[in-house]
Amino acid sequence: MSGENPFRDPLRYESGVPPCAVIIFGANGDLTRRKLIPALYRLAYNRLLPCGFAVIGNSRTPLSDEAFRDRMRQAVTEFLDDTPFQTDVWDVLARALFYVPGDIADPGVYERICTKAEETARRFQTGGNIIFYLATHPSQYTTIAAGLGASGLARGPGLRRLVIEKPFGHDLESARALNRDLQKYFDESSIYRIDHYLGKETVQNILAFRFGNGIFEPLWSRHFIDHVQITAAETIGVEGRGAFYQQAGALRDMVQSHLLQVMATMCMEPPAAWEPDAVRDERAKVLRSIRVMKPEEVPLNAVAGQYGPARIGDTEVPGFRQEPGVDPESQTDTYAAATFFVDNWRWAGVPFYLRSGKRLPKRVTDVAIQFHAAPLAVFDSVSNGKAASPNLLIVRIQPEQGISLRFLSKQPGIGMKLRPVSMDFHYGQSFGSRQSWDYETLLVDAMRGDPALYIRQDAIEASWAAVDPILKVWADERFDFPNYPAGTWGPKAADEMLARRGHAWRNP
Amino acid sequence: MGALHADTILDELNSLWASLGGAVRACSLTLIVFAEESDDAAAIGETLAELMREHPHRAVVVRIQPGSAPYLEHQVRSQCWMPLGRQEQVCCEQIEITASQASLADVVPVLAALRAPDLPLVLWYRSASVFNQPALAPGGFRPDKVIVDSDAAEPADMLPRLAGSGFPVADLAWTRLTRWRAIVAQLFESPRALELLPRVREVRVLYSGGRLPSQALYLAGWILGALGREVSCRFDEAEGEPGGIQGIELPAGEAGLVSVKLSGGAVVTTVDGIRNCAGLPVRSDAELLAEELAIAVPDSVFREALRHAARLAVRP
Repeated sequence: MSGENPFRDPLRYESGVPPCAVIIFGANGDLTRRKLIPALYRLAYNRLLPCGFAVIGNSRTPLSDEAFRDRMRQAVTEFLDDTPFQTDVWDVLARALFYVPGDIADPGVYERICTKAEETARRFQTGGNIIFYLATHPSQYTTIAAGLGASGLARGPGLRRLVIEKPFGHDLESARALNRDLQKYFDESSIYRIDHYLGKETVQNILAFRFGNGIFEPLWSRHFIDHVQITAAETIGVEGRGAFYQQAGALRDMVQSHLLQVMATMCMEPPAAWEPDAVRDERAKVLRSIRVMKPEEVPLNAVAGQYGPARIGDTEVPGFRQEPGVDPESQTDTYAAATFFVDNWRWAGVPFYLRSGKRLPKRVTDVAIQFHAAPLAVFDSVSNGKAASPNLLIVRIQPEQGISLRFLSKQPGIGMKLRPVSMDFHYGQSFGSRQSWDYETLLVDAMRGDPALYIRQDAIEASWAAVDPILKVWADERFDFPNYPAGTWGPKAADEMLARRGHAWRNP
Repeated sequence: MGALHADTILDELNSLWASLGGAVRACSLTLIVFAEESDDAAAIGETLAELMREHPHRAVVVRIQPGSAPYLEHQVRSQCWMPLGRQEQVCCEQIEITASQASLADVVPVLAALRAPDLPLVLWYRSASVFNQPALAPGGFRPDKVIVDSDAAEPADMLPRLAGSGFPVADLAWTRLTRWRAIVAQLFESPRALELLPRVREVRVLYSGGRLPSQALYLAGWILGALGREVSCRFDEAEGEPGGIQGIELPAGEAGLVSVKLSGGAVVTTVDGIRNCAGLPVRSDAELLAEELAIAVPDSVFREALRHAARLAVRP
């Protein structure tokens, strides 16, 4: 018998998750309660957890194992969504939950975690494999990594993986420093940086759409595409997180991370194989090809915005500066738009317009690819100029997932009048509506060692390199904020940015 | 009783779509369902309605009446649903044909014309008796997949026949085992469990309900196929719902025991003293069909399990 599990059946079910322990730092926090533990329960219910499995939680709050299990049980019942709560399943999972209280700055806590990890490895046959999940504030990543390194926990005998959430630094320099600090203790191949957007079905479907079909890829270049718009709009404000958001802003929070990853997925060359590093190589290449703006180009190619108060429907909505915890003179961008160019043969000269903002009219994330207009408008004389409407391919990421193609069609009746029509593919209609499995997918991928949906260091640094010049110019600027009322599509300057190239934002 | 013409039915479908106005028409395959007249029509309708969300299809339901007098009747209808938060309905078309035994030969050429062009054709035989109708033999339709359910059939008849068929076949009795198989597969991701495997000398399947179900044979066949060597197979009856699997045991002598057993609606696994538990939700026909329709390539694991199961079914 070889070492391979002969019972796998990839056509029917996922497998290949090795035994392991997950050590969660920040185990008493919101992320653990709302996402991680409910996701682990769902994985247990759906038999996706390995046979040998344990969880060790850490935070400063003094708790016994039992008290921790009680809290996590409450969290599971509260945030379980559509999976049934089955006591037997929970009881078995709960027996594998442990808690080690202590401050991450105290070297003693790592000794205690190490002892607990050895104990669970024997008792639950986790094979000594450990996933460290840092569900803490990013400022603590370095301290924890150093603690794990000093205690010897960061090194085997079993596999070691470190999972962290964004933000990965606040600019290029800090991102590099964070990477250097983490890599003192963990190999790059062991560091799993989460970007939830990459876990979304539609973002993955962009790859299926482009590289699984033969008819689109020949059109996927500057020869046929006029420009691309990527929009991530939220209707909500900062929802009580004003103090935190002030440190970030829309450019850092959304554009640098999610939107540039989506753009890279749209633009990347076909990978040689459907393998994590082949895909990540191509994404990183695109990000490295983004033209870095000179300081004098920033005002023409990037727009910062901040929402002001407005009445939306029958509700008075506060401006950003009126939100709790926000500096009344805050210069934080709650809206950011930027024009990027990818300097390679495929995309030279094609503008990529990215925008993201809070308190916009609609919650929507999509990518719109506008093709060149037909070379000869033969129907112009009889169709009131509508023949000039270019084809538009829209990839909708949220709230609905799907793809639409807009093209011209003859209006029924006498004469040759054209009008745009839309051909829609709705992900939910063709494949059923499913609950989001972002965290389950990401956890299983980390356990299995599949980093395809995680971001590599070079991609992080390349995306920071693209936005860093904008951040630097904005840091020296005093904006006349607020410059857009809540409930509108952002500042006028963003419209002007596109108008300079003869384009206009679409209304998603 | 009326004549059956494909053109008439297609015209009626066109009129139906015209009457639906702005509804979105969705279709990714043609699904022909062969059922007996005694089969619960409402249950079939519910299954197809549930299935359309994941696999929108043109459904042709052929209901077979007993009797030697010619009889043919048809009607067309739509199955629609409104996705959450959307303005327009998504609709699939459904053609229902009722035919007597004597008229079955007239139905077959019409079915060929009702196939949605350029899309896969799947035949679903709801019972062994319709599968055994010579006029409805799958080969004549050149299907992309043939779905049967051997749970209600005699395994010694059905499984060898499926194993010897020349068309792509799927069996819902096998599909019902996916969760069991996934649990077993997950167990053997553990190196400790994997070490036990070469020492397994027997496959023991526990079933309930009195008659040895094809699921038990499939499960044993699958394990034999995975082991790649001959070991003895034992089927023991245990208490539980009729026709179901109650557990699997893989004794490995002194080295230990791998056990997967049903306990109060959950599945409890034990390997080397480590106990785990997973849910085992009951799956509807629509969910089983959806799983099969999602597989568009040859299923070598099923083929191998079927080969062993067919052999076990006819052994003395």
